[in-house]
Amino acid sequence: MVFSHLFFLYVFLALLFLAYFAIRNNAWRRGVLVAFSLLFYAWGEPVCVFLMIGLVAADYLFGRLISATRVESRRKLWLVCAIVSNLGVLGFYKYLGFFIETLNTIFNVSIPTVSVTMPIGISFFTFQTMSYVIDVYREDAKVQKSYIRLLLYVSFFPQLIAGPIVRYKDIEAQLESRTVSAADFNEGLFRFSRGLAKKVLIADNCAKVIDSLYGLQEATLLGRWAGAVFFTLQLYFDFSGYSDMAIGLGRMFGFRFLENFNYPLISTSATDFWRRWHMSLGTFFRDYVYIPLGGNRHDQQRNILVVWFLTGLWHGASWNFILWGLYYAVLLMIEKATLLDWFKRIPRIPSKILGHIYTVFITVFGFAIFYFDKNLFRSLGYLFGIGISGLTDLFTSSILADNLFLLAAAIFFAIPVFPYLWKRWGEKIPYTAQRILKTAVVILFVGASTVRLVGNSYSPFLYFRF
Amino acid sequence: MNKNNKIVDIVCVALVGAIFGGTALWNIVQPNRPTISESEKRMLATMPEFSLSSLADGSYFAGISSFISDTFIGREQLVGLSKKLDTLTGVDYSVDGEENFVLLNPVSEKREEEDTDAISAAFEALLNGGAQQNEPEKGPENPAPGTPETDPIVLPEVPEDEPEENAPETPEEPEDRPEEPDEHAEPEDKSDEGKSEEPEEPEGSEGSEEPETPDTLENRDEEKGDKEKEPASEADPEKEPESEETEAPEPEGPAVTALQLSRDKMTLTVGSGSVLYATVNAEVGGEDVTVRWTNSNKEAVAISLNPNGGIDVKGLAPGTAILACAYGKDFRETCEVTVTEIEIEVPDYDENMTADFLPDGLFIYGDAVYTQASYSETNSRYYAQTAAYYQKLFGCRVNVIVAPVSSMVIQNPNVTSKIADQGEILDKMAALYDPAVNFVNAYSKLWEHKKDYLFFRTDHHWTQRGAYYAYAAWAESVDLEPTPLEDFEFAIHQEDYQGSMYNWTLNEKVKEFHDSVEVFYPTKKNTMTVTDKNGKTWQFNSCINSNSGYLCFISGDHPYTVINVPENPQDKNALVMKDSFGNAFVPFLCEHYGNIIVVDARHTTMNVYNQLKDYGITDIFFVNNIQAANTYGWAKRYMERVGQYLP
Repeated sequence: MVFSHLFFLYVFLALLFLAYFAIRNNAWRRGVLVAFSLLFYAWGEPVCVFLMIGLVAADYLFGRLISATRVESRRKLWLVCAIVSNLGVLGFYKYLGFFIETLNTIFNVSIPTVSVTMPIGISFFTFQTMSYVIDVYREDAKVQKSYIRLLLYVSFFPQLIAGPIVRYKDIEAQLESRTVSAADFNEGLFRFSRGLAKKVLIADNCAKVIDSLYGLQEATLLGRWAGAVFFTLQLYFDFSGYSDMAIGLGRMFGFRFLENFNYPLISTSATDFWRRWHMSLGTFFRDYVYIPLGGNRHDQQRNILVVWFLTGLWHGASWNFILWGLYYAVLLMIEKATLLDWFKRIPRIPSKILGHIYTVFITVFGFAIFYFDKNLFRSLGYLFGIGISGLTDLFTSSILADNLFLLAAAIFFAIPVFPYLWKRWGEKIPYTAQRILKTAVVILFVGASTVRLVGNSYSPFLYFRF
Repeated sequence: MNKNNKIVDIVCVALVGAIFGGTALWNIVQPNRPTISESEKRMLATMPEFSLSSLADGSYFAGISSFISDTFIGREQLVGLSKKLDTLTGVDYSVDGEENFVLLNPVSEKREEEDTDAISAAFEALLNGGAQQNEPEKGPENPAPGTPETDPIVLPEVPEDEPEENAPETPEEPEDRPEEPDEHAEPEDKSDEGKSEEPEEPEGSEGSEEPETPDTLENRDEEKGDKEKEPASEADPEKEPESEETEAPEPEGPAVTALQLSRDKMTLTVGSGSVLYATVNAEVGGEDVTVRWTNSNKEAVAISLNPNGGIDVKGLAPGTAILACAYGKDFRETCEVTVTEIEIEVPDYDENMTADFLPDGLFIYGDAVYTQASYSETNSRYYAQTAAYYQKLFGCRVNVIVAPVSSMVIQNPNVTSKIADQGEILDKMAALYDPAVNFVNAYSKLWEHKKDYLFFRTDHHWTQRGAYYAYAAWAESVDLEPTPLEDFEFAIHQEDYQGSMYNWTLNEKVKEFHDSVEVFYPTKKNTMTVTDKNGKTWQFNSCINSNSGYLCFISGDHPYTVINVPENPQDKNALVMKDSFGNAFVPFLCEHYGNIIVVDARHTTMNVYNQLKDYGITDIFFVNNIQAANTYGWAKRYMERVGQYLP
């Protein structure tokens, strides 16, 4: 099941809210959440849901085992077992085919490739389960004696499929009991509706434009760059939209999740970008890989390369993703070495402007690497003018003209205009007015998204027999 | 303060809950859910069947999701609203600052790779080797024996102006005699002869021969359309002593020595016609000989005298009739006519069935939606080879009419420089054709009239006016005089017609354009019998009817359609294999042919060769749009209709 589906919005959520808020007992409430979350996952993965349940059971066991002993070697043993099983599951389902292909190419052998369908969200929940065990080992969190609570932490549907990667210790207490005030519910709803609009109204439309542009027979310079820009926007609105929906839904049930995106497209450098984009992944790798390896204390270059190799690899089982990760590793190293200092030395406003321009360029170019898992170098060549038929042509101009407002709106909403306005004026108006405004936005966004979703289900029998 | 805030919050929650929660609850409990979407032309999803396997592969859950979204409350209105929202994303691009240009659906369809090596090899084998049939199907059923004959004195309804038949003499063709016995034989045995080629056929199939022999009755076996002797066109008024071996009783009597019919068995389909001639051998001194015709089953078959001394036979309903021709008391020959419903085998619904047009690269320019074409030499060659195969198999003339599509009329170089030149494509295609096939290139005629209303603005088809120019180009290619456009009765069926483009593009801008359906009625009276996909037969009193839009032309696409034009020679028969572009073209054939059989290869699996080889097809037409003629799918389909299943 996916958030941007009519079934989710108008059946699943309705029934869930009814069930949850009709019950007062915390244990029962947890049960309801777990049950619905498992159903949510099973909807898309009727078989692999058991894999997830099993993995949580294994990590539950390892957590108990770790906390049950004081012998360091034993504790380490259980930790290693947990990490191996989590990464093993992830590696098998996500990376096995890629691994075999790579071996075949490097060593010129012909191991038969296996094709395994990857269960959705596996990259997210394996990381969550690992974070739990590691935190228990480090004694940053108390062991969870209730399997159901642990299962709730991992399988809770808002963040299960597309993040944010929630750390166990951040919500440890919330698993026990939560309070949901009407204000919480409204705020959660407000957040959710914004995420829904981002996904349905902007991201999905951007996706169509990319298909149009990249589907043309001839590549034009403008067409190719515009495609890369639209892809950057699509990825941002899609991903941050999902995070908004996750955070909003969590809030409606009394959970407070950490932010995952902070307007990354206004960053002034790659370093700044990674503090705003997919922040939960960045902090995960920082806390569990970068710092244990030594961080910026020793072997910083090596540490950066390792972390970014893994970041790229995490995003997908293909060499272009790894290349994308390493691309950022190099940029970050250059920035740390010289560029950031240079930016500091020039006056503030030009520095900011230059920083923005520079960052937009590297981000868009980086996402072009991210997009093309096939024909990567030919596609990148187009961006540099190699193999294009001209600056623009009739078809490209027509597609862009047809999506001009969409582009403007997307760029507008990628800039924190409304947060700024809200801070300046919104917070000064009476609470009633604030709430009414927000509620109006909720109704508008959910209504418009519903209209769009219904429209998407329109699929006429195209091939008329006449 | 806080209490007030709390109240505000609760009220807002309640409001949102009422709106969306109410919608949600209604969607869950909705009692009468719609099952059909008129605008989408499909059945809406229903609650899926539960089974462990559908649960395990996720299809049960996916089915429930579809079910809910398909039956969402107010879906039709919301879809309309959504389409309007689509138009808000931007503006139209203008070419030369004037005409709007919007690209629609630019992404190509993923087409399956074809095994071109195997296909080419198969064609080579068929065209250069013998023509064999993969699956001999049972031919038309033999009529039941022992059909009672009625009183031979009864005369059929005979036009007052032509009360008698004249059969003064036989043609003098002793040199052709060796061939004749074959022709007098059972028509069904001719199956092997159908495969040999006859260069003289083109003349034989034309009606122009008959006016040359008004007085003589030729013993021509028209149904084959192939084995044509030299046209014995000398209109010899003298009676010549000619004796020949016949199957009739021994020559006796002073004047008439023998009576022969051109055939003794005939199979017709409902709505189609043919001719029957009697040949009377007379000794010198015989006067004009008149024969009498009778029909034993007037419900199945209708006969009428034709101007050339024979009778036109038309099949009305399934059944058998014995047509008898008598001279005096001594000579009487019969022909058994069986009228069958054609055997339509309708294929199962094929999800992969291709349209006759792929919505690839559609664009709006100015005040219309335009379609493009592309060229594939391999596929065009397959299509050309298919036509050559039909020519080889049937032995009659094969005409290929390729209809260009609407973007051909654009003159603005800013646009034309970006799209394929259909004139060039057609020239390249023409070069691929076997000289024995008549490839008709209508491009220049259409280009001459490019400012006319040749193509629809909101539909992918050409108008009947556009089809006319293709007809004119064809007529000239076979030395026929095309009926001038002004001679047709003109009417406008619909002023505000919206065609396929909206449904294909789902783009609201398309709704701003309008079409009118111009119709040109054939100059000759004609009747049409349509066999639909359920095997049911429909009769129309014209090949253009009152169906809406483009469907008025031969009532749209059906497995098997017969158009009968009594005013034209009943032995001039056309077989038309076509896609929907052919529909607007076919009415013009009523100017020349007695029977026009139209087969849509997508809607039947009948074998046209087996079922029509004895029919007497004199011309075969392939009418497809330029895209279809560039796809392997259509060539493959046409080959299947003659029993050849290519890879």
